[in-house]
Amino acid sequence: MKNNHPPSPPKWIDSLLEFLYHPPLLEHIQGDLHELYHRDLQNQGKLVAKSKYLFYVLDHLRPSMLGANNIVALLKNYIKVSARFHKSNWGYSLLSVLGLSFALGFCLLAYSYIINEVFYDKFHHDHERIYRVAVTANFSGPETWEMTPPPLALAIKNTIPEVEATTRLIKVNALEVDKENELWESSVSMVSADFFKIFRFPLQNGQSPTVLEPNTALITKSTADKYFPSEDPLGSTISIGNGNANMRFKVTGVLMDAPSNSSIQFQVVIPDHHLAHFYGDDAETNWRGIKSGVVTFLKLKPGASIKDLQNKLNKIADNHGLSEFLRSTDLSHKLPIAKMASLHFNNDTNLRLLEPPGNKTLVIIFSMASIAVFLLALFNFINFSLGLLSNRTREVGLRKVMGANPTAVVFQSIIDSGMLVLTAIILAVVLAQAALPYFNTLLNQVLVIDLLDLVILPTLGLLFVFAVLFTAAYPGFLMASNKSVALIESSRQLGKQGLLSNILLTTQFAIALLFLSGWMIANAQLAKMDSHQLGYNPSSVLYQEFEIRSALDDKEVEQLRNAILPLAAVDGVTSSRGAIFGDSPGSMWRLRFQDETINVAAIKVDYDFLDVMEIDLIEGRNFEKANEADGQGAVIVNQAFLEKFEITDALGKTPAIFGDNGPSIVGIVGDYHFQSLRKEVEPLILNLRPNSKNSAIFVRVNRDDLPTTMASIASSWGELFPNRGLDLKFLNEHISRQYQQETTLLTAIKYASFLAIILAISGLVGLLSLALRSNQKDISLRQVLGAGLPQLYQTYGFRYLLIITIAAPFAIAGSWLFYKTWSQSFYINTNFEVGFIVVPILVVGGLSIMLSGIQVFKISRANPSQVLGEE
Amino acid sequence: MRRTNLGEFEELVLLVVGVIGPDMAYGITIKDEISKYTGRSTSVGALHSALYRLEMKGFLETHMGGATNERGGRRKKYYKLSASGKAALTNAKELRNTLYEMIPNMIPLKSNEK
Repeated sequence: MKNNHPPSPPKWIDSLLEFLYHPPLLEHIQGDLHELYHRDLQNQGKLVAKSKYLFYVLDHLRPSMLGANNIVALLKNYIKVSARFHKSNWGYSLLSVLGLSFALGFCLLAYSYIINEVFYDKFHHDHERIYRVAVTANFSGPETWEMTPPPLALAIKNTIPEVEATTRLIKVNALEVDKENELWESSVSMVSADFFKIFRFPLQNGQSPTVLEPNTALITKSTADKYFPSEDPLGSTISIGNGNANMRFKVTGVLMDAPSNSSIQFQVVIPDHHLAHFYGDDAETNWRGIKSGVVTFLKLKPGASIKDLQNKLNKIADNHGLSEFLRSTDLSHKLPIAKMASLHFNNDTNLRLLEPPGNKTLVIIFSMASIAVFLLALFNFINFSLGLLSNRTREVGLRKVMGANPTAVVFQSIIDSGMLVLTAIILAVVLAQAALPYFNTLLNQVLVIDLLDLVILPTLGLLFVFAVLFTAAYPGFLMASNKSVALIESSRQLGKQGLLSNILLTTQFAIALLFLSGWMIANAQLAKMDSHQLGYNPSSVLYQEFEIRSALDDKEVEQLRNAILPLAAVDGVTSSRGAIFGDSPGSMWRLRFQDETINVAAIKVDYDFLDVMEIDLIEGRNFEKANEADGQGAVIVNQAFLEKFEITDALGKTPAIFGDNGPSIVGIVGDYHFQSLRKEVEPLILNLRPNSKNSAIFVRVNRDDLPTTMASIASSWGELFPNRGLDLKFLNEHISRQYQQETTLLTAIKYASFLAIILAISGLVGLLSLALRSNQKDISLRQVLGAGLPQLYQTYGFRYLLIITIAAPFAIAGSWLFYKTWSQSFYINTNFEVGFIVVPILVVGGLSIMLSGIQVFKISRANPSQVLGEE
Repeated sequence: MRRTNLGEFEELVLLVVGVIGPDMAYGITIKDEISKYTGRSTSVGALHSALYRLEMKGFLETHMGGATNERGGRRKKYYKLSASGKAALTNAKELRNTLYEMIPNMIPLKSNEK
């Protein structure tokens, strides 16, 4: 059908066409396409015609078509000019690109860590409505336990209307999993039916598992890949049990692996119908059978208030005699709740069943360090762009004379820095990927840099825009707004390094000094802790910790001692109950002193504990086997105990705080560090309690022929306790593992300070050499007039010494702050030495003087007559 | 002067422009004729791009005209073979024939076979 106003194709597609193509070509192409549109419209309808029209337009995006386009041609020209420019100044361009890419790489790594930590457990839908329920107990001091009675979850769901769903997560580590006699190294988690309604752990196909039938199992993708490398795991049968009462499960689904930033990790998931099978017949009803491994979660209904929730939970605890049984003293929080997303940074429970907690300090330090390093690199970048302007002014001036408008000039400088920033970003990604394995080892993480991640790509894009605008906008507008003639005539006018670049350089040096100083402080702190007298000797001591059900009692320790002490390489065998060195002690005595209840650490020890651990007895005597009264009636205390309770003349007496029938103090030991060095040595009671169980054994050995010694110990152990595994570790390593965070921090600061120093100095040297280059005539004139190297250096290099001098006080203040907040958080802290400030200044200052000296020397070797003769 | 080669598609376009004849050949008619002879539909983008290249190489001469309502009043660009375009086609054909005849034991194709 034809009329005077034929329907025309969508306007926006037409606009796109008009934007893309060269006007002289446009007329007939557009005409042809409109004709085609009409034909399609009549044959195939509007929708098809429209989409085909769009396709036609895009189909013209071809090199030969675009080659005729003025925008593209302009862009090509800009890129060509930029490329030539960078090529002729390759040294500076390389320096800014490398600096930026190393800094960005560092940021990318830090970012992947920070993001991982910050979004821990936040991938669950409605994570702010999910809570973990714990219990409070007071057997040996007020404690919060993550393990809960098995019936708790159901009771909460049945009695509290605000609760939408509850679930148990039961990690059964002792179970064996096998498939046709192939043993799996996998942990088994039992979960309630609502587990997958509360948490978002989808199946491989993206859906949430719905029903958990009895005798079915879900396995994760990595488990499936490992144990079913070439077959479909669905439908196959695995057997789970502790050796004799195995149960068969059919694999009905493959779950995606839990994200690395999930506090809940699992490999094999089975329904909790089978709790009784593994935990005993009364497990489902026994409120007192708090089994290790049962964690309870609840999810509130939307909009439900948590105001009454705590009271209702307390009521449940009361109704089932739980708080009475647990001797809970925190009456307002008998069953304390904690938000799911808060669990990662809150290590509030004594026995953590979820994945180990994160380190907030490290997150903060990493964020600040990466911002600082990024700023350093960015400042370098800006300084170089500004410095290089002096070489561009003539070109830009000429362009403006030839008719380039301000937009074109700004555009050119955007392309200039855009090329560099883009190269830097690509290089940074490559560098970060290459460094990722080392970074993961350092932090003990499994981070990945997923570029398609919804955050990283836009962030990099933003970074690109930000960096380009920041580095191009100022110089670009500066050039665009200047008079063309002025630009051509005085090439020095813009090359002069103004206030901006001085401020940037000063900031850089302050940051570099601060990093170096911080590194020295952290180093000194760790060295101090390393060399600190612990008050006992942990070297050459092997230890093993036991769970209560497999613990050795005193008689068994005696058997072990009799068996292995005769070995030449074994110097002593002893045992204790209470946590081992460095952890917080397992049991506490509640003492009333001056109307205050004070919990005092109490450790049950063996007769020869002091001897084997080489703890100094200051006064009195050790426990004696011959003296039967020592068994219940004697304690040994440390000096801190006497000071705390203001006891003088303690030996042989029962202090009033123990009550009338309490034990008497037979000996006093020095303040050895039974806890970590973050804490001051607290009061301590050592007692005997014969015939009770021990939670740890200690064997002091001669390290000369360790493998043989270990083998002999293992064979004796195997004869004595065939059902219990032996897994001796060095006590030293256990103690130094406590300072893992600090070691990691030290390494991170080390790399950041290294990067910062290189960036700051390369910034300085680059700027200096640019300044020298644009002042070459001036230099030659001075030389002709008799100026030597020292005078030249004074004129051009001294400025930078001034910058370091201005930066120093800021760095000193910063490092003092760091020392105050970080180092002083340790009980054993290093002194603030003058060296922490002087050495960085000397190192950075010395390097700067040397390198800038070389620059001045190099320029001074040019023949003045040649330089001046060019005019 | 830049060496000018004829690509396979370019040769086809040139031939078709020649077949249609002057004052008839413009984008749409060329597209339709190519589809008719080869039995395939042609990408209009590829066609315009080829026409532009051929014009730049001097194988085609053009003039504008023939605006219609359907085209929103835009003129058509008519193409016709230039002398060098004809020469290029002849060259291509001769080269092809020479090489063809140099192949030993080649049974001549029947012209009625499609």
